[in-house]
Amino acid sequence: MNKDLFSCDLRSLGIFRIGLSLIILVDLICRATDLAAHYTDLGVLPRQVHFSQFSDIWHWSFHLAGGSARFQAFLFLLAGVFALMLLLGWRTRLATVLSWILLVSLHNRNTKILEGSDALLRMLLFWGMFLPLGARYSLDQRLGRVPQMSERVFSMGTAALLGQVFLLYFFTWLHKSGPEWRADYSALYYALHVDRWVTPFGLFLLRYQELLKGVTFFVIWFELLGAFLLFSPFWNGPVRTLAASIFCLMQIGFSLCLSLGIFPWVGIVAMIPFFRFSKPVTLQRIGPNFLPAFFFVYIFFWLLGALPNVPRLIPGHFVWIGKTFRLEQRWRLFAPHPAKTDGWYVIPGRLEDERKVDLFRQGRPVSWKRPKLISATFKNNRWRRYMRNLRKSKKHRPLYADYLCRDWNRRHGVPPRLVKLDLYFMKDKTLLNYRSTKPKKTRLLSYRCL
Amino acid sequence: MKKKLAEIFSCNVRLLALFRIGLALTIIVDLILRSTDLTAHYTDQGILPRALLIKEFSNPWHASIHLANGTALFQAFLFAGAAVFAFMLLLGWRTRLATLLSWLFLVSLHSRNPKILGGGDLFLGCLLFWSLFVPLARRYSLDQSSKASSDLPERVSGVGTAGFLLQVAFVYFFSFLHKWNIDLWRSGEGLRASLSYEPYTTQIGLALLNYPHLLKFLNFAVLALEAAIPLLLLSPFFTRQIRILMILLMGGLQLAFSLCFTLGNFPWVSMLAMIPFWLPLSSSQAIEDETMVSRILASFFLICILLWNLESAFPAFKMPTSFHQMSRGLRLSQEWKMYMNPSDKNGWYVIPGRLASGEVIDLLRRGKTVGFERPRLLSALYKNHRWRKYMRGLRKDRNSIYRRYFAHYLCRDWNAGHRGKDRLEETTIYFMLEKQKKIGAERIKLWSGSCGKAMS
Repeated sequence: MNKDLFSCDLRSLGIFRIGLSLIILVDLICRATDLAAHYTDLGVLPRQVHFSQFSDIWHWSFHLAGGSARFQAFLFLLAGVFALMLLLGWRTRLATVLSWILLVSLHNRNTKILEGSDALLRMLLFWGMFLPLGARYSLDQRLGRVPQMSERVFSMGTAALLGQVFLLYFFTWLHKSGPEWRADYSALYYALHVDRWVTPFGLFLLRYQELLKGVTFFVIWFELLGAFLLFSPFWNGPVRTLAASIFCLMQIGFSLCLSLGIFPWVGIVAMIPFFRFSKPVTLQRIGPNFLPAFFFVYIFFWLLGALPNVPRLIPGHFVWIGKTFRLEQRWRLFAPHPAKTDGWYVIPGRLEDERKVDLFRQGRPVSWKRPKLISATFKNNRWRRYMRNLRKSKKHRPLYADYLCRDWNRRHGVPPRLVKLDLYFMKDKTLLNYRSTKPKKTRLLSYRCL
Repeated sequence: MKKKLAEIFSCNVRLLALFRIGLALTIIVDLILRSTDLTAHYTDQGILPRALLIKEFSNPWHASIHLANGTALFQAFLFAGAAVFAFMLLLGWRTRLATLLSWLFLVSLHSRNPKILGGGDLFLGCLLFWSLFVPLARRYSLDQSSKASSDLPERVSGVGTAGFLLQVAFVYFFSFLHKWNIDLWRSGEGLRASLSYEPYTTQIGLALLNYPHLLKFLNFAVLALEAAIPLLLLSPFFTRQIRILMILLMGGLQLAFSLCFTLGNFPWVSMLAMIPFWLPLSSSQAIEDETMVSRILASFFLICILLWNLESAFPAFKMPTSFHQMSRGLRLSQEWKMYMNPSDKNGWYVIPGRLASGEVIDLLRRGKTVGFERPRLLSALYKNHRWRKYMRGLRKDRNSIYRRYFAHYLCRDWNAGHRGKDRLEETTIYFMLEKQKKIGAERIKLWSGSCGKAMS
C-alpha cells in the first residue's frame, strides 16, 4: 500500500491543532453560559442522581469531584488554559493529553447534552495525542523542542486520524438506509422540517423540492464516493484536496440550513489534515504505531457491531476499553432517515397568585400558537439536544422540572413563587408535499414544585 | 528579637530532607495499607457508594477526584498515580510539584470516604500542606544533586517554617486544652476512662487498668507533657538542649500511647513530625529564604489554623465564616481532641449470616461459628484501624442509614468467593452493648435483611 496516501504534512497538522484548540475554546465558552444548569448539583443532573441512576460503570469524570458552580468554573478555566497551550503549541503533547482528559471528563459529566460533533471532536483530539501536532506553527518549534523531521510524515497515528474521517462518512452512509435517502430522495425535505434546527435560510430552501432532491442525491452518494476519493491512489494530491474541499463546502451548506452547534466546524477541522501545504518531499516514518493501530481496529469492529442487524462484535470483556477511552461512536446522522416528527415546547407554570407563565419563554404569557421560528426558542444547541432527549428519557423529566422550579424561584427571589408546572410538547408530524396536520398536544409531565 | 524569633522558628535543611523522605514513605505505606480495602472503602460496591456519600456529606468545599468513577480499577489507577507522586517526593524530583500533587491526592482520598479517617490522617494532611511552604529538597534530592551544596544555607527560617513548627506544637497544646476542659481529666480519671473504652485498647492498656494509682499519676503526666512540650520546644533559651530532651520525652509519650491504644498511624505520623525539631549540630546562621507569595500565603494559613484551634477549644470564640469555609476546603479544619470518650460504652459486634444451606456463620470472624460471649480483646475484632473507626460509628443512631450498605457489602464480598449452597442469603448485625463492665451485655439488633438478587 502506498504510504503517501495515509501521510500528513506537518504544516497541516499544525493548522489542525490550531483549529482544534479554537473549537475547544469556543465550546467551553458556549458551555460556560449554562454552567450551573448543566454541570452542578443545582442543575438538571445533580451528582446524587447521576451516581444512583445514570452513571455508566466505565465512564469517568473529574467534573464529578465537586458539585458547586465554583468548582466547575475552576475546571473550565483549567481546560481553557490547556486549550490555550494547545493553541500556542507550548508543550504540545502534554497539552493535548490534558485537553483530551478534561474533554472526556466534561462529556461524561452530562451525556444528555452531547451530540455527534462531540464524539468527533473527542476522537480528533484522541488521535492528536499520537501525532506531532506541535511540529509547525508552534512555540515548541520556536524554542527548538521539535526533533528534526521531514515535512511529510507517516505513522499509524496519521493513518488513524485520516481513517477516522473515512469511518465517519462511510458509516453514516451505511446507516442512511431509508428510502428517503436511497429511493425517493426526500431526506432533506424531512430534515428541513425538523423544527428545532431549521434556520430561516433552511425554511427558504424548503420551497424548492426538486432542488432538495438533487442535493439529497448528491449528499448520500458523495458521502460514499468522497470517503474513498480521499484515499485515491491516482492523482492523489488533487483528488484528495478536491474531495476534502467538497466535504468542507457540504458542512458549510449544512450549517446555513440547520443550527447544528459546533458540528460544521469540527467537520471542517477534521478535513484539514487532508490538505497538502508543502512540495512533495521524502516521506518519513515515525512512531508510535502499536496503540493507534490497535485502537483503530477496535473502533472499526465497534462501528460494525453498531450497525443495524449486526450482532455486537466487541466481546463483553473488552467493552471497558471503548468506554474508558471514550471511543464510542456510531455516526447515525439523520439515519436511517431524518426525524419525521418534531414540534415545540410549551411549559405553563402556575405561580402562587394563580398567574400562568410560560417557563420555556422566560415567563411570558402562555400561548399555544406555533412560534414563528422554533429553532430560536432554544438558547443553544446543548439545550436543543437536551430537550430532544427529554422526549425519549422519562427519568430525566422530573429532574428538569425540578431545575425549572428552583431556577425560577431563585431568579425571582420574591413571591409569587412557582408552585406547579406542566411539560407540554406540541408534536408536529411532517407529511410529504407540504401537507400539514394539526399539532398534537402531548403532556410529558405534570410536576408540583417542592 | 527578630534574630531570636528567626532562630526559634528555623529548620535545618538536612532534617527537612529527612522529613521529606519519611513523609513520602508514610504516604506510600498508607496507600499500600488502604489498598487492601480498595473495593470496600472506595468503590460503589463498598460500604460508601458515591450516591450515598453525596447525599450524606453535601459539603460543597470537599471536592474529590476519587468520585470520578466507582470501579475498583479506576481507584487502583488513582492509587498508582498517588504512589508515583509520593515516589517523586521520596527522590526529591520536582519536589514542589510532587508535594502539591501528593497533597491534592491525599485530600481527595480523604474526601472520598470520611467515615474511616482518624487523627493520624488529619495530621498527615496538615503536615503535607505545610510542606508546601518549606524547602524540602535542599539536600538528598535529585532537584539538588546538580548544584553545589556547600554554599547553600544550612538553616532556613521564615513564616513557612514557623507555620510548620507551630502546626505541630498546636496538636499537643490544643489536645491539652481540650482535656483540661473536661473534669474527668482534671480530676485524674481521664486516662482510666479512655483506657476503659476497650475497642481502642490493647492488651497492655487493659493490664494497666489494674493500677489506678499509676493511672492517676500518668494522667497528670500526660497533661503536663502535652502542655509543656509545645512551649518548651519553642523555648528561646537553651534551645538545643531543651529540644533534645523534649523530643525524647515526646517519643516516649507516643511509644507509651501506641503500646496502650490502637491508634492507627497517629503515633508514627507524630514521630515524623518531630524530625524538623532536632537542631543542627552546626550553629550556622538561619537564612530567611522564602518568596513574597509564599510568605503571604503561609501567614494567612497560619492565622487560619490558629483561629480554627481556638474555636474548637473555646466554643465561645467564633472565627469569620470565610476563614471557616476556606480551611475546610483545604482540610486544615482541625480539632485535636485525642483519647477521651467518657460517654462511649463498650461493646462488640456479632454478625451472623445465613447461608443457602441453612448453616449460620459469623461474618465478622470470617466464618467461625456464631457466639455471643464476650471476646477477650475487643480491639482485636477488626482488620485494621480504619474498620475499627468505621464500626465505632456504625452503631450510633445517626449512622443507621449506613448499615444497609455495610450489610450489602458483606453479602457481595462473601458471595464473590462462594457459590451454590455456600452463598450468603441473609445477614443480621448485632451490637452487644455492655452497660456495665462484666455484667453481661444487651443484644441490640442494628440491621437484618436478605442479600437479595441485586447483591449477587
